[in-house]
Amino acid sequence: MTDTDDFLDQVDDPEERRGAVDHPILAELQQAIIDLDAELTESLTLEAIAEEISPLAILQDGLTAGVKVVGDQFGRGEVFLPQLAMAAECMKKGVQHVEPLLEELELDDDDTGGIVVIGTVDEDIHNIGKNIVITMLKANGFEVIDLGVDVDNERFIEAVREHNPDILGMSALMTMTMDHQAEVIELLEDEGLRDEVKVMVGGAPTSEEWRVEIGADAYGDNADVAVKRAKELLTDRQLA
Amino acid sequence: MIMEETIAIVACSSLRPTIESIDPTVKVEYIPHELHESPIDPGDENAALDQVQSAIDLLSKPHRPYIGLAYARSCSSLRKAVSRETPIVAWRAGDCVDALCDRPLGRFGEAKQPNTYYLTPGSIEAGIDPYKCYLAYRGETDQLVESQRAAGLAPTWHDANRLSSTAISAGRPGEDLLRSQFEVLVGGYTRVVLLDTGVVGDPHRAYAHQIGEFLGELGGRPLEVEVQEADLTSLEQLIGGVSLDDETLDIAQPGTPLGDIEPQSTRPHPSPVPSHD
Repeated sequence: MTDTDDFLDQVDDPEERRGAVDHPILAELQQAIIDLDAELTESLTLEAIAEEISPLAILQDGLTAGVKVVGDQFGRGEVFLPQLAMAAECMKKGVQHVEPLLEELELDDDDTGGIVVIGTVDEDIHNIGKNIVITMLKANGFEVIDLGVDVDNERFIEAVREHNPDILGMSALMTMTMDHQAEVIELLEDEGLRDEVKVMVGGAPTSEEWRVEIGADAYGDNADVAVKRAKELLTDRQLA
Repeated sequence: MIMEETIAIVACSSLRPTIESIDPTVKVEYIPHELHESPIDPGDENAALDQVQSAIDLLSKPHRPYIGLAYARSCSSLRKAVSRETPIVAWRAGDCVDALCDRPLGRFGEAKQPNTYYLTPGSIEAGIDPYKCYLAYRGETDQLVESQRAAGLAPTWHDANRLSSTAISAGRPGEDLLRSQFEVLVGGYTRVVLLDTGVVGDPHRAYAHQIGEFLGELGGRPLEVEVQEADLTSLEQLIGGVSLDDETLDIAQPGTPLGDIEPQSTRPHPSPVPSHD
């Protein structure tokens, strides 16, 4: 976590937050996302790269900080869900240019969040809740691999093998599909992968009691809590 | 002499025309529709509880038979709602659409059919929906308000706090961005159902077709739009008087939070995650 992140966590006022960066381009980048201006976000990202601002600073202090402001507005019930979705989409316009540069850097573990593989379980096509969680995870530095919706049990297992994530997230929005969360955990155990990954569950019919019942590691009843739990799980893994 | 109070109701603002058509004299405190989950937004659970609790506090009297709660039970925060002096009688429907659907309630109060966008006369006038939200991002809500007024409706949806802050804070997203994200969020519907609560008129039907056209464009296919008769049984019972030992209702005695009287379950309550259903 950067000093800026520490500061952002302590400041509620978006005006103060936007001032929490050193370079004016990064402040403009944040504002472009808050204004939902995808084209400006992309052009400012390219400008920041041309100015040789660190890709990590562009990502954290510009792009993700902008989404965080909108995420906080959403969390306080000030704006509607589409605003968060559009802010995340704006962020993608910048991230596509920054990502290749980040891959060239040798980052310390402290500079990167964990990897999360996430999907909505088999026979369930709901994606809004999952997408909110993905947006907030990305805004908090996690790399997220989205398996989409209607993901069959085996696909989750394959994805754990393929991506070696820190966390596997499963969303279920219907009572008739939530049992798949339990089945995937059983499959992880059968395949000897259970100790390799932390498992988070969420979705309308799920609960803390359900998490305990099926042996998952964390449950979040909204995106904010999901991010907090994900950070806790990551710390657990790093300490283990 | 003890003054006997009448039944009072705490209801979603989208139920106003229906309640007024059932009993225009019943005492009702209306809670904004925008605070509970809808297909475009998870709502604001804390604000919903605050406002419901304030309304209960206002209506709680020693000699009132009960306070009927006709707000979205999908708001898990309402489990904390409690009355000092009057029993609370709450329906089990997930929200004000589930309560009016002529179908059995599921485990979490759900009665809507999949892939169907529901409207009621009250939601058209008081509720936030994807089309109104879309217009807010385009800065075009005034035109819809004016056309609804001209058609004889009494729109109040544009007074929603978040709609105002959305218009102020969002800038003006490009049309491509706006369309693409609305398509992701609400492009999956195949049908629009207008529930006829007895007060449906041509302007309501016209709006149902308007939102059907909007959702159909997003999804890339025309949507079926139909009017279905609403089931008013639970609302009429709540307003007209119920027995306090009715096992089909959740009844919280004074001092007992609503959540404490629900059957215990390993999957106790929905979280504020919107669904397409």
